[in-house]
Amino acid sequence: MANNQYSIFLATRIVHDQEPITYRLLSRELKVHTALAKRYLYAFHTSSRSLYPDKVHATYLISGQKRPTPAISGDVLMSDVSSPPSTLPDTDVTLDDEIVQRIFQLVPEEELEDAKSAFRKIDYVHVYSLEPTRLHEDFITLAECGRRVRDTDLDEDPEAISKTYGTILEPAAKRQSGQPGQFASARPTRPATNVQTKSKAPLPKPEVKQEQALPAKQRPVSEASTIPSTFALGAKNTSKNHRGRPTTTEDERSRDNIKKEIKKSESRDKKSASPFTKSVSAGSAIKRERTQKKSGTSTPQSSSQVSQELQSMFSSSEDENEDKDDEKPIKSENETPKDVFGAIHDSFISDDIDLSIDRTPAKLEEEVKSEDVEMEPAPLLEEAGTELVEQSPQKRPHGRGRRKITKEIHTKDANGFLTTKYEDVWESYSELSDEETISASRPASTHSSAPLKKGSTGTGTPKEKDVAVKKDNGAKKKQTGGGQSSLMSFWKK
Amino acid sequence: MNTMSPVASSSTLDSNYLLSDPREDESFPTFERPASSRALISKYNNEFLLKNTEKTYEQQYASLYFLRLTVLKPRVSKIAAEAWNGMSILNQRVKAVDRVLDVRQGEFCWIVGTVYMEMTLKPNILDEITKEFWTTAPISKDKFADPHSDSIMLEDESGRVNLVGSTIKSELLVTGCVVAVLGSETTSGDFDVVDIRYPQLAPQLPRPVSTGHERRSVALVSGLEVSGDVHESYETSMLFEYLMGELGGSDDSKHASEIIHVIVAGNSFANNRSSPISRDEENGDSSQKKKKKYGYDSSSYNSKPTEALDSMLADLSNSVCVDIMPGDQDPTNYSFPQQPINPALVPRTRRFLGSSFRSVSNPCWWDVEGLRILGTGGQTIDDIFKYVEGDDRLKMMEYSLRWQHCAPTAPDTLWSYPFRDYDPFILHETPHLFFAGNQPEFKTKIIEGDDGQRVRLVALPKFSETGQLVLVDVDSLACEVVTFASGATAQD
Repeated sequence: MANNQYSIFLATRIVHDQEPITYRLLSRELKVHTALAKRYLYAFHTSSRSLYPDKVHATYLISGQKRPTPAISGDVLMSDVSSPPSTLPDTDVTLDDEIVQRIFQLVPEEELEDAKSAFRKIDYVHVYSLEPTRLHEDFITLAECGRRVRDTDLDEDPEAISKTYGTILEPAAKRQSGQPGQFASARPTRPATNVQTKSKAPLPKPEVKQEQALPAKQRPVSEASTIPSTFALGAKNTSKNHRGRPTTTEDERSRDNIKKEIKKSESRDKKSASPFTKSVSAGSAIKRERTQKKSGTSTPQSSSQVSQELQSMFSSSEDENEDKDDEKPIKSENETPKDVFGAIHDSFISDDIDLSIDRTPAKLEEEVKSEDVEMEPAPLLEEAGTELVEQSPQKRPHGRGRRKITKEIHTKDANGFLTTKYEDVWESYSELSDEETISASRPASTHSSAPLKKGSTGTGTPKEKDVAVKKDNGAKKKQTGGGQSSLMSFWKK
Repeated sequence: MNTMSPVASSSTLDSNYLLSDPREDESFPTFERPASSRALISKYNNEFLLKNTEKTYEQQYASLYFLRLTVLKPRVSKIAAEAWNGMSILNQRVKAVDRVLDVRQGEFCWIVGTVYMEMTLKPNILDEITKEFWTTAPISKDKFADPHSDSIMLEDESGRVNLVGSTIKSELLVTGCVVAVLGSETTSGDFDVVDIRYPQLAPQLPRPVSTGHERRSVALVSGLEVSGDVHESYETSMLFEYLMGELGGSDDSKHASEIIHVIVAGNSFANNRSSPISRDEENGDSSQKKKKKYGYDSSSYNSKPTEALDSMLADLSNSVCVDIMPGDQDPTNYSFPQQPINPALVPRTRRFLGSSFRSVSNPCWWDVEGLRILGTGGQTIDDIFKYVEGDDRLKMMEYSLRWQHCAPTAPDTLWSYPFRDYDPFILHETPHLFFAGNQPEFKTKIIEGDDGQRVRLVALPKFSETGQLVLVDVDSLACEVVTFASGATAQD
C-alpha cells in the first residue's frame, strides 16, 4: 500500500465528505491491520494540523485503570471520588480478593489531558476516530461506521478477518455455508420476495403486448448499460457501499460494487449516487445518519434525477418479474395523475376498439383479473375520476414498493353515454409514505366509489348497465381479494 | 498463540506506541483464542427445556411443591439430624417429628417443610378473582415484605403451621425454600422456632488443577438492551470491539484473547413494552380490530432491536464463542424456565450455530474447561428481593445455593411452568460460578461451604446502565471488571 494512500483516503472522506472515520472502518477500507489503521489516523491527524487546520477533530481512546474508585458501581458513586474510600465500606466487593478494574474511555481531543490525569495507570492511548467536527456526547455518529464494518465482515472468512485486521481468532468458529450472500443481498427486514428471486431467472416476455409498450418504458437490456454509468459518477468519489467487499483499492472497489449497488436498498443507492447530497454541511451529516436509519426509506432531499434513475431501474426489474400481462409503464408519485391518464389513454387508443359489449361474463372476469389495460374497449373520450384501492403492497428490498391499484375511469363512449370501468395498474410508491397513503386512500375510496358507480350505471343503456354491473362484480372480486392483500402483508418489511 | 514480530513487541510496551507514524514494514500481532471445551451440562439443562409435545397446563402447581419437598426433605433432614439429634433442651430430648401436624404442644422437636410466606402485599390470585380482575398486570411493587403483617408458615403434605419467634423473623426466608426448624408448639398453636437449618451447599465437583500456562477467562455481560435506534449507546459497540480484540493496544488484545467464552445473560433486547399481560391485552384488542392480519405487522412489531443485535452477534461470533440467554424482556416465554431465544430471530448469527453460537435456556448450566457455571437472567434473585428486607443481592444468591434451589419463589410469585415429574430448579450440585444477570450493580464474593465448596457469586450489572463487562478467571475464579465509557459517563 502506498504510503500516502491513507492520507488521500482520509482527506477525501473526512475533509471533503465530512464523514467520521473510525480505525476499524479505515482498516476495513484499506485492508490493513487495525493497529496500523490507528497509526494512520494519528499520522493524518498530525499532518492535518497544517494541511487542514480546524477541519479534522480526533477522538481518543484511553485504556487503563482509573484512580481508586470508592465502589464498583460507576455512575452514582463517581461523584464521591473526593471522599475517602473508607467512608464507603463495601465489604461484599472487597472481601477476599482485589477486583481488577479496567476502563476503556473515549475522549475528545480537547479533554485528552484531563481524562488522562484521572487514570491511575494508562495502558494505551490511541486515536479512535477522526471526524470533521467534535462528536456529540453519545458518539452516535460513529455507530454508522460500526455498521459498515459489520457489513463488510459479514461474509468474510473468520480466519481472513483475523489475519488482515488483527481480530482475535476463535478456532471453533465456523460459519455454516448454507446460504452465503443470502443476507447480503437483501436486508433481513425485507425478505427477498419471490419477485426478486425470479428476476434472476429470465422470464419469457409477453410478446403480443410489447407493441403497446410506451416510450417511457425501458427494456432491461438497455438498462444494464445505462444504469451503471449513472452510478459510476457518484460511486467513484464516495464508495460508501457497506456491503461491498473491498478488493484492493478504493476505486476498484467502487467499480466492482456498482453492479451490486443496483440491487441494494434505495438509501444506499442514493448514497452512492449522491453527488447531490454529498456537499452537505457537517451538521447535516448527522441528520443524514438519522434519515438513513429510518428503515432505508427515501428522503425528501433525493433529487428528481436520482429518483428517475431509480424508477427506471425498478421498472426494468419489475417488468421482468411481473406476470406476463403487466406491461404498464411504472408510475411514480412524481408523475401527476394527468400523466397517468394520458398514458392509459394512449394505450387505449393503440388498442382495437370494439371488444366491449358482447363479451361473456366469464370472459370479462378473466379480463378484469388479468389486470391489464388492453382488455377494455378503447373509449374515445376520457372524463374523470380515479379510485385508488390498495391491493397488494409488496415491499421491495430497495425501499420502494409496488402495489396494484384499481382505477375507476369514466369515459364517454361513442354514443355519448358515460361508462365506468375499473382497471388495475401497478404503481410504484415509496415506503416512507406507505402508512399514510394506505390510511388516506382507504376511507377515500369507499367514500367516493359508491356515488360514482351509481351515476355510471344510471346513465347507461340496459345493455351497458349490464356490462357495467358485471364489471363491477369483477372489480369487487378484485377488491375482496383483500384477504389476499392481508396475506401479502406477511411479506411486508 | 502470539505471533508478534520483534519490531512490534519492542514498541508495544509504550502506551503511546499507537501514537506514532506508521511504518509499512511493521507487523502487528494477531491473537488466537486457546482451544477449550465449553459444554452445556445437558443433564441439568434438559430439564429446563420444555418440549412442545409435553407442554400442558392442565395440572396443578401443587405437584411442584410436593416434588420439591420429596427431594429436599431427606437432604435437610440429614443436616438437621446431625445438628440436633441427641440434643436436649430443658432436660427434654429433642426428637424429630415427621409431619408438621403431629407436633404436640410443649414438646421440643424439629420438623421439615416448605416455607410459605403469607404477605399482604404479595399478589394473590384469589384476591384477583374475587375482584374479577382476570387480566390485571402483575403488581409491580418493589417489595412484598412488611415485617408487621407478614407471617411465615411451614407446610408439608399434611398441613401448615405458623412459625413465630425472633429467630425466624431475622432469617432470610422466602416462599418455597425447604428448611428444618427446631422448637415447640405454643399454646396458641404456633410453632416457636429456636433454631433453623438449611440444606446447605450441594456437593461440588472438584475443579481441575490449573495447569498455569495461560490465563483463560469467561466473560459475562447482561442487559445489553440493544435497541437498534439512533440513540443506541456507543458503549455496546466498544464492548464488541474489545471482545474481538480490536480496541486498545496489543496487551488489551492479548487480554481479550484470553476470553474463551462470552455469556450474554439476559435482556439483550431493549425493553419497549410494559408487561406481558398488558401486551396480551393489546394483542387481543388488535386481533379483534384487524382480524385478517396474518403474520406480523410493522406497526406493532419493531424489528430493529433484533437486527442490530443480530449483526453485532454475527460479528462477534466470528471471533469468540457466544451463548445468549434470555431475560425477562427478551422475546421468548416469560415464565420460568425461559426457553432459548429462537435463533431465527438472529438470522446472520444463526449461521454460527453448532460452532461458536448457542442460544441457551434461562437458567442454564455450563461446563467451561471444568468450571461449572450456573447462571440466570436475574429474575430469581429479583423475585427473592421482593420477599426480604434490604438489598443484599449476594446474600440472596448465597441463600439460593444454600437452599439448594435456584428459583424457590417459583411458582408462587415467579411465574413458572407447572412441572409434573420433577422440579428442575433443585440444585443437585453446587456450581463454581453462580451469576445472576441484570442486577442493579456489580457485586461479587466467594462463599465457602462446609465440605470445602468454593463458589464465586457474581451479581452482573446491566450493561446498558453501567457499561460493565465481568471477566472471571477459569482457573483462579479471580474477577475483573472492564468498563466502557463514552459520552456522558466520560464526563464524570
